[in-house]
Amino acid sequence: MELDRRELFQVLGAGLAQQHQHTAPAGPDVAAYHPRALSAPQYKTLGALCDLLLPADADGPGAREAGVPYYLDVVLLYGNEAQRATWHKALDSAASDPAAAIAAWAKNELAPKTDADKFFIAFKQSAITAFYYSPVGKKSLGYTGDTAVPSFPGCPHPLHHQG
Amino acid sequence: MAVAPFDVIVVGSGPGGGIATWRLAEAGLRVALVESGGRLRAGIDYGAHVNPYATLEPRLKAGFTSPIPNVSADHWERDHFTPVGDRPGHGVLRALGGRSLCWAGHSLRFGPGDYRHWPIAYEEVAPYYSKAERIMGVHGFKDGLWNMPDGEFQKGVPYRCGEQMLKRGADILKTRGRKMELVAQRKAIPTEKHARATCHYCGHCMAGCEIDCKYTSANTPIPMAMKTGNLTVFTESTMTRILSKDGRVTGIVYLDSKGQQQELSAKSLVLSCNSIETPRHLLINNLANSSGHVGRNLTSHFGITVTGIFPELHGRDGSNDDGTDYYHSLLSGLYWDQPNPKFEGTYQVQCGSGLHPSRLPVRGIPGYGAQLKRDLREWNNIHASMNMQGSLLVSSKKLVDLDPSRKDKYGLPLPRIHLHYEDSDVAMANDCVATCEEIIRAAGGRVILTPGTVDPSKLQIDYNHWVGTVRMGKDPKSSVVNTAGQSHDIPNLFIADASVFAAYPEKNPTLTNIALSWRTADGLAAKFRNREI
Repeated sequence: MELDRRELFQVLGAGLAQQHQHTAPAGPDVAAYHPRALSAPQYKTLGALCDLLLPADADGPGAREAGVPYYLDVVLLYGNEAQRATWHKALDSAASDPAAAIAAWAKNELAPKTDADKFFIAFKQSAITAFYYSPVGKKSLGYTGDTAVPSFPGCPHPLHHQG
Repeated sequence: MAVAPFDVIVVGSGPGGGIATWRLAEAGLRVALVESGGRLRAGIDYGAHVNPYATLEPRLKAGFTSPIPNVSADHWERDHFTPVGDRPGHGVLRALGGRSLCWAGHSLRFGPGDYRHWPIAYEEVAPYYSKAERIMGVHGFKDGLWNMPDGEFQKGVPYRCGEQMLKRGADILKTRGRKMELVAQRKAIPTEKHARATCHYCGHCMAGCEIDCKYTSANTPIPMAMKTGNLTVFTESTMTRILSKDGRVTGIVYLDSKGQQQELSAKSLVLSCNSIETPRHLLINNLANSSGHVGRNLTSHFGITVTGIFPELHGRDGSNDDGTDYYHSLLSGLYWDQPNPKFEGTYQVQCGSGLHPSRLPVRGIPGYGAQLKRDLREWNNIHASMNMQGSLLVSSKKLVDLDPSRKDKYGLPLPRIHLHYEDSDVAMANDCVATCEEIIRAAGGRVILTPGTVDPSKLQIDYNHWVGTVRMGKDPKSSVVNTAGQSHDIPNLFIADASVFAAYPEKNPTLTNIALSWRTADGLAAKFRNREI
């Protein structure tokens, strides 16, 4: 395909024109979400596990309110069948007592052996990713970036001034 | 439709091909640029300023693996090769601009000491470094290092707090007699007025700069070449054969965007396909290989990561550390003056820090609950990471050849990449781990992530940094191209990419690739003026 000169310049200008548009669109209403990869009881258990993993504290709400269960359900929806089966089994096993389940899994975190141990590591890393992607998670870090600023001051610590 | 012969066909539009195309078109030559990918538009086809919760489902539904657009992760072909040995990697980014779309912008000159291993001296390349830095908009500080010379810099970007701590550690080691320097990074990201946009410090450089501030072939030399009126760009056009007759190349055969076979003819050919694909095409076409060195001398950078935390930084303001992506500084100057007898070559260490929710470098903290949440915030806020970038030993165990059984969708043999770490490589990594740990501790920090004693299973190859497979040299028996980038065997065949590197220091390759390709293209244009082509 021969590239037209005028077309190329139009294309190259597109990025420049958008440089100060940093208002990201709003996300879905996670509180009203109905799970599609998980059953309703499994989704409820996932919510409980999320709040046990990253609970509400003085820095703000926990992972459930942040929308992490929504995020993980959508990831599972577009994942593969084996992955969904692993999560279904683990969540079913934790349904009666999520606190006891996460305590047991965490004991083997540094040397995982069973499928349940490995599930915990996958769940934990996915939930951490999802939490800090969310506005709630970013706020809990005190993060205000991902925006356009005119300069980068570097280390503001008075003892570390860069000459 | 018949196309009239061009003066030059350039195949590949990455860092080398992009600059060569502009220089040749600027010299008044009729140039055809052939690129197997299409156009990816900054701010339209990629751009990481999104709400991941809004983009998650649409992007997963479209087949992407992350809610955040990333020009390399979204578009790379990662299986366009056969790995042999210690987990080599290779990613082909088929797009106008190639892998210049997804580089970090790190722009370090090779120094006079590095060029001792080349058939050309630093002074011969220095003017091209200067020209390249100006057009690329490289920022940096003047550090006065003899083997990483200063360039034509825009104002530098300072360290974050964690990197400032590492500098303190490096300075303490210097008082103990160690030779090293921790300096700020130098990147092709304008911080002052330039032809492109000025950086706005959002930190998404590697994912693809959506305002076209970071230098790419697609946003700078290719549009400049188009302005000359001498360039025709063929996108979604994949070269399948090089045509030759009587010891000269005469053109190429390619498949167009509709899968139709087409031909282009030209007086000369410039290959800029990258250090894996350029030797692959030469081997497929059995060209320019009287030395037997096409595909040999393969090397890259490899590394490991050591991370520390610094309690002194507790409570610091980490609200916006985005800057110009993760690595703002560089540990350099190691073993320049006195080589380490345990290994050949040397390494540098890219240093990064800062609290960024989408990368969160410190996440392997055991446990759960309120303590985990506090630790994630605290440890990421006060951490600094050190990523080794060592030059891989060149040997007969590392090479590119053709896979005798696997072919791509065009029926062409896929390249095989042979990588086997050797004792020298492992010794270098162990030295790096010890040095990084010592720096962190000297600065008052605690090492929280380290590979400990290194073995090959812990090493990571940098699959963006392959070089050397079409080596430059004065002797046609031990090299493929001469010091002008011209094939020893075929006088109208030139190579303008990092495959011509004669030796590889620890420094990032792209600036040198661009400077050398500029020099090669100017030399080719001179040959046209002198009627040597």
